[in-house]
Amino acid sequence: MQSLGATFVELSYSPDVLARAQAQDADAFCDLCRPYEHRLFRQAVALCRDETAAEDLVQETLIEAWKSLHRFNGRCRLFTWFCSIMLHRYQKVIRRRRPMSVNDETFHSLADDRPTPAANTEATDRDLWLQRCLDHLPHKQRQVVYLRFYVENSMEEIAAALGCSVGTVKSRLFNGLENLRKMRRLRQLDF
Amino acid sequence: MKPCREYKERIALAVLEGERRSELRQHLQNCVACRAYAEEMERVCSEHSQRAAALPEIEAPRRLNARVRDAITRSEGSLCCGIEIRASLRRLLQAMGIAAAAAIIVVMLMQRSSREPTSSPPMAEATTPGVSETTRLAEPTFAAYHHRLARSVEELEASLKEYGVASDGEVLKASSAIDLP
Repeated sequence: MQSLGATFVELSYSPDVLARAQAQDADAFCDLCRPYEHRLFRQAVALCRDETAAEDLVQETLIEAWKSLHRFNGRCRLFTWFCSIMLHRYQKVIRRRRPMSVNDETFHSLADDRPTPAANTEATDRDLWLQRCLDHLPHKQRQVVYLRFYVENSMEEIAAALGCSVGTVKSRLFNGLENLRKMRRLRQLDF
Repeated sequence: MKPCREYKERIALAVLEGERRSELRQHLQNCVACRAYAEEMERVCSEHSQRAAALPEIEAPRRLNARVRDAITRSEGSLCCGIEIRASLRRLLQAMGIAAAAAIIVVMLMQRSSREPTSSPPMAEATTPGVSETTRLAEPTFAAYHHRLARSVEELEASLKEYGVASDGEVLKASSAIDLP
């Protein structure tokens, strides 16, 4: 599977701007993150399914990035790094909504949660269902699945962004896909 | 039928990467369960790929950058304030530490000097010509204070005897006989 959704184009930034931002220059940081705001917002809307919540999520992500920008070492793309922070912040949003672990009970609750005929269109239902499946993955599995499919990162880049080995990324990705497959089977719907 | 356990991860990653090695291809040709598993995994991956491709093109609100700027400027101020408070606290703790260490050293020196056996009274040594009384009084040793206290007690007893009173308070002479100054 070579094609992984939307075309990803890394927006370039000046090393000078990055250096100034890392030296706690607020203006430089705002200049640095401005080109990424639309894409981050788009990803946040896909996660939260609500524009107000997405705006808050992007804001929290960028504030967190500002605080820890000195740790960015350039081994992955800046957008990937922002997304990994956003997924961390999103984890807190999910914690407020549901218990964490993926177990049989969770699978069955997903299976029972089919959209009613009066609900939205099939595409919207599918979109909602896929996002719910992602939400029910353990955090580490969701991170790698999301970075792989929605941010279109290579295994190496995901490993660099998360600070783990490529083998760990592969293992988490396999477990994540396996869980998604089980959820899909329980759903018993072929989109 | 269940797929072969040893092939599951390889199949999932191969589906993801889009390349299957000859050994895996051969296994999939022979194993129906693994072939079904690969097809199922392909559907899972394609669903998420399609969803990622179909994410709506939404623009971030214009106020977002300003909100971020305000927030980080505020956090910058609180950060600076916090750093100053921490620096003041650190300086205060350093000063307190130095003072405590100095106090401990003084107490140890005083205890040590009080334990030392004195062959001759320190005040006697201080009665050398040319050394003033204030200099002698300024000696901060325990032994010197002890010696001065003993002398004062002796002087007091002598004075009391002079006025006819014993050290334990017994009146040696009639009170009327005492010539008060």
